[in-house]
Amino acid sequence: MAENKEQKQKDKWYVQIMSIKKPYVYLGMFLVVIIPFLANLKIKTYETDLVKEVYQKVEKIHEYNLNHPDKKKGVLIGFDYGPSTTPECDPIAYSVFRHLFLRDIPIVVWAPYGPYLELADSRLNRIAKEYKANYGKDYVFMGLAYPATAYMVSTSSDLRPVFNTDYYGNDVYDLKILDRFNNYDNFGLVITISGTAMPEYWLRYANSLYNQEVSVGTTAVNAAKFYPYANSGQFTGMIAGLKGAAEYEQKVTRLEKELIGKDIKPYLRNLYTEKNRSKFNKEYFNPKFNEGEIRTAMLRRHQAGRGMSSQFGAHIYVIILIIIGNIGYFFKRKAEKDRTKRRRGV
Amino acid sequence: MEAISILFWPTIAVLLSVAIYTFLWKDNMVYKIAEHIFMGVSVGYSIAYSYHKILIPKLWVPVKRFLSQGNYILAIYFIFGGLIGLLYISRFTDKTSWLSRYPIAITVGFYAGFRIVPVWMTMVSKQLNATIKDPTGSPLLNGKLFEAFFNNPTWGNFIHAINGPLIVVGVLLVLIYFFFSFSNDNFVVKISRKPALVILMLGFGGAFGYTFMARISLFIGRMNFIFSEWPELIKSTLGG
Repeated sequence: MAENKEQKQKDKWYVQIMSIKKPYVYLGMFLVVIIPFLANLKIKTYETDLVKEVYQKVEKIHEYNLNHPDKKKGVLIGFDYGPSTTPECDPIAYSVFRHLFLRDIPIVVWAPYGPYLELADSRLNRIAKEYKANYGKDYVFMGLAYPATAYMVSTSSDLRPVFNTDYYGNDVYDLKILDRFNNYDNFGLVITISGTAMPEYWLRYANSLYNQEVSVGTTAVNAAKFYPYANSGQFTGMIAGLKGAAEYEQKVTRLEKELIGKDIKPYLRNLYTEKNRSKFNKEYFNPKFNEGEIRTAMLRRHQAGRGMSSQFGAHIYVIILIIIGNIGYFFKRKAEKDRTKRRRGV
Repeated sequence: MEAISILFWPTIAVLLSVAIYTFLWKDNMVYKIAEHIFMGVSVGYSIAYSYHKILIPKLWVPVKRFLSQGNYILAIYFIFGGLIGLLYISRFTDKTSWLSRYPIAITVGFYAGFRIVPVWMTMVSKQLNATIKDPTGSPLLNGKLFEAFFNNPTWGNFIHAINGPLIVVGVLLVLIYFFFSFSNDNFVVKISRKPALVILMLGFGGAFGYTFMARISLFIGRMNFIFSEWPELIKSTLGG
C-alpha cells in the first residue's frame, strides 16, 4: 500500500520534471551549443562603455602617433593566460592584436608563466602575419617574465636588462623596437589579457606606482572581481569574457573593413608576393598563405561572435531549466502542504 | 607521412577531449585514462619547462656571461640566489627540511614589505576614493544627474543618475552588515540587514551569471576545436 502511494507520488508530473536524468540535461546543452555553432549563426551584440573605452584608448594612441611620428607610443601586452582559458581569452587577444597591427602601433609582449609562452608566440605571429608586421621593428615577444612583479617594476626604467634576450634568443640590444619601447614613458597603454589574477598585479605595480594606464581583457569568472577597478577608473576599460570579446571583435572588424575593404580573402591571398617575401624572417612566420590558412583566418575573425550565438542558446536553455525546476518545486510543495492539511483534517 | 605527423596530435587532442566529456554520462575507465594522462603530462611539462625556460636562460646563461665578461660580483650574486633557491629541495627529508625556511623567509619577507604600498594604494585608498567620486572627479551623490533625468527622462539618464547612489548605499549597507554581524538591536543595523542581503545576492547573482558564461565559453571552445578547427586541419592537410 505504502509502495503504491510512493509510486503514485513519483508519477506526478511535477516530480518527474524535477528528476530529469543528468545525461539528458547535458545532451540538451550539447545540442543548444552545437547547433548555432555549426549553423554558423552570428548575432550582433551591443557595445558596452567599458569595451568602447579600451578601443578608444588605442585609437587615441594611433592619433597621437600620427601627430608625433618621432615620439610614437607603443602598447605593452601582458599575455597572461594559458591553455585553460583560451576559449575566452583567444578571441580577445586576436581582436586586440588585429587592432594594434591595423593601426601600426608598436607592440611589446611578454608572458608571466611558462605554459603561456608557446600560446603567446603562436597567437602573436599568426596575427602579425596577416598584417605584414616585421619582427623586431613592429613587434617583439620578450618571452618569460617570471616573476612578473620584478619585470613590471623594472619596466619603470628599462626592461632590457632583466630580459637579456627575447623569446627567440636575440640580444635585447639588437632589437630596434626596444631602443624606444623599453619603459612606461613610451607605452601609451598596457593591456593585460588574463585568466588569472595578474591584472591586479598590473594595477598594483604599473598603475599605482608608475601611473601607467592599464586595460584588461579577462575571463567572465574574473570580470565580477575586476568591475570595481574598472568602475573606479583604475582600469582603462575592460573586455570581459566572450561577450566583451565579441564586442571588441565587432568594432575591429568594422575598422578592418574600413581600412582594407569588405573582402579580406583577396587581401590575404595577395599579401605576400615573390618580391616582398624575402623581407620576412621565416623563423617567426612563413610569409605566404594557403587556402586552409585563409579559411581559418576568416573563421577566427568572428570566433567570439559565433560563440555568442551558442551562449545565447545555452543561457535560454538554462533559464528554461530553472523555470521548470521552480515550477516543479512549487507544485510539489503545494501538494505536500495539501496532504498535511488533509491529514490534520483541516 | 607528413599528413600523419600534422594530424596525429590534434586527433589525439580530439579523442582526449571526448574522453573527458564521457564523465558527463558517468565515471568510467576512458575518463580516468584521460585524467591520468593530463596529470602526468602537466607534471612532466612543468619540470622540463622549469629547467629549459627558467634555470638555463635565467641562471646558467647569465652566470656564464658575467663570468666571461669578468663581472664576478654579479655572477656571485646570481649563484648565491640560485643556491638559496636550491634550499627549497631540502624539504624532501625531515633532517634537512629546516633549511627550506630560509628561502621561504626571504620570499615572504621581501613580498610583505614590497607589496604594502601598492596594495594599499590599489585596493584601499583608490577604492575608497571611488566610493566618493567617479573617475571624472564628480561626486557619486550628484543631484545634477537626477535633475538631468527629470528634464530628459530616458533610460540612460536614469541609470546614470542612480549608479553613484547605488554604489554609495550598497557599500555602506554591506559594511554595516559585516561589521555588526553579531546580535545587535540597534535600529540602523536592524533595518539595513535585508537590503544588505539583497545587495549581496545581486553581487553573487552577477558573479554566478558571469561564471556560467565562462563555463559555457570553455565548452564552446572545445566544440570549436572538435567541429571547426580539426575538420579544417584535415581538409587543408589532405588537400582541401
